[in-house]
Amino acid sequence: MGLMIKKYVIFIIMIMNVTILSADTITLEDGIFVGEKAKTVDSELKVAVGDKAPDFSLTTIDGKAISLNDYKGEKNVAISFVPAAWTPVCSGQWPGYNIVQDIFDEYNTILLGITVDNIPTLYAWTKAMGEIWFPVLSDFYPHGEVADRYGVLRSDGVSERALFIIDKKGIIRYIDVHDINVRPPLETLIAELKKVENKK
Amino acid sequence: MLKKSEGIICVLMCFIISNCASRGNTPLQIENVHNEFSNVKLMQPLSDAVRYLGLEKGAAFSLSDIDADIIIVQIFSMYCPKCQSDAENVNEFYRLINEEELSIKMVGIGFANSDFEVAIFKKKFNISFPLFPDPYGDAARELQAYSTPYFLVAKKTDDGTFEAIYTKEDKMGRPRSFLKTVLLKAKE
Repeated sequence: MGLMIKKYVIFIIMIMNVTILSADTITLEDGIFVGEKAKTVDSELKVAVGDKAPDFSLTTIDGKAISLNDYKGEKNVAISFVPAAWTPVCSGQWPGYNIVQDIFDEYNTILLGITVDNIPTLYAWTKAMGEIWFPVLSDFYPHGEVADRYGVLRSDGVSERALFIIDKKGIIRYIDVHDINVRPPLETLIAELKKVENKK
Repeated sequence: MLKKSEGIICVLMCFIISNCASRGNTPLQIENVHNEFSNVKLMQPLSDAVRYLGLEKGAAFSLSDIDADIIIVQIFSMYCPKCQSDAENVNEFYRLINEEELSIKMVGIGFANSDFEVAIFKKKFNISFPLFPDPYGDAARELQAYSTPYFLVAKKTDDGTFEAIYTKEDKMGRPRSFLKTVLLKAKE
């Protein structure tokens, strides 16, 4: 009797192990939170094309401090503000930028990804995308301070889906505060980078 | 202590159960897919794709115009990490189907992707089979694809129409395994 029970216990333990091992880890797609459609734009820009870009210093998911002025004289900067980690459009936007590093390099541009999420959230989200080549910065605390400085902080505390291109002199050359529910077309961003670098 | 034979049976049962627990295979969403294939209009392909798909030169074509015994449609997105990481498998699968006796043709449709974005994906992952943009998601909706990646396999019937024989709402995974599934379903 004792041997029978032992056999069944071992069998049940093996089944439990298999069940645990068979469970897929949460992928990016599994973790997406689908909320309601949001108001297209819910902020007022505080900067314009031609302005000096407000400097900022934020921490990356790797724990490094990055300032906008770090790139002055060296590279153009494309800032991609996205509203929130683990949401549908955002989770599609950055993985797309992740496979076109060569294009950003061609136009001598560093891409900075910024959200108001905290670092652990951003870390988990971007890890689910794979290896991200561009710095991902948290604008969590003071909450949305950088987004607010640019005028892209929404009333609900997330940022707009906004793109800024800043040239090597630190001047804003392009602004797109996009419909928050829609992914901005990549070709438009690339075309603007080309203009900034004066390439044909 | 378990006998050796009992231990082997336990291990085998665990493998069977773990395979059953894995997800990816989905029940067929649509069967007679010929109408859907006829409704999916894709832009004129380049000349090498025209030859590959057995099309007449001209403007837009429908999936149902493709000259093949079996058509594999991949719904992908340039922005989809799973599609990106699965590209190598899909490329290998394309290589394998070209060695088969049956005429198996493959196309990719970029869900909510522009021509530019599809070209980026094609170049980045060195995709050899024809890819087409689906900027408004019309084709994907017609084929009842609600996420990417998504694979639909259809077989040409005796009356020349297409019937769906397999769909998968996930990465392709192992190419040989996927091919085996396709060939098995084609024989059913």
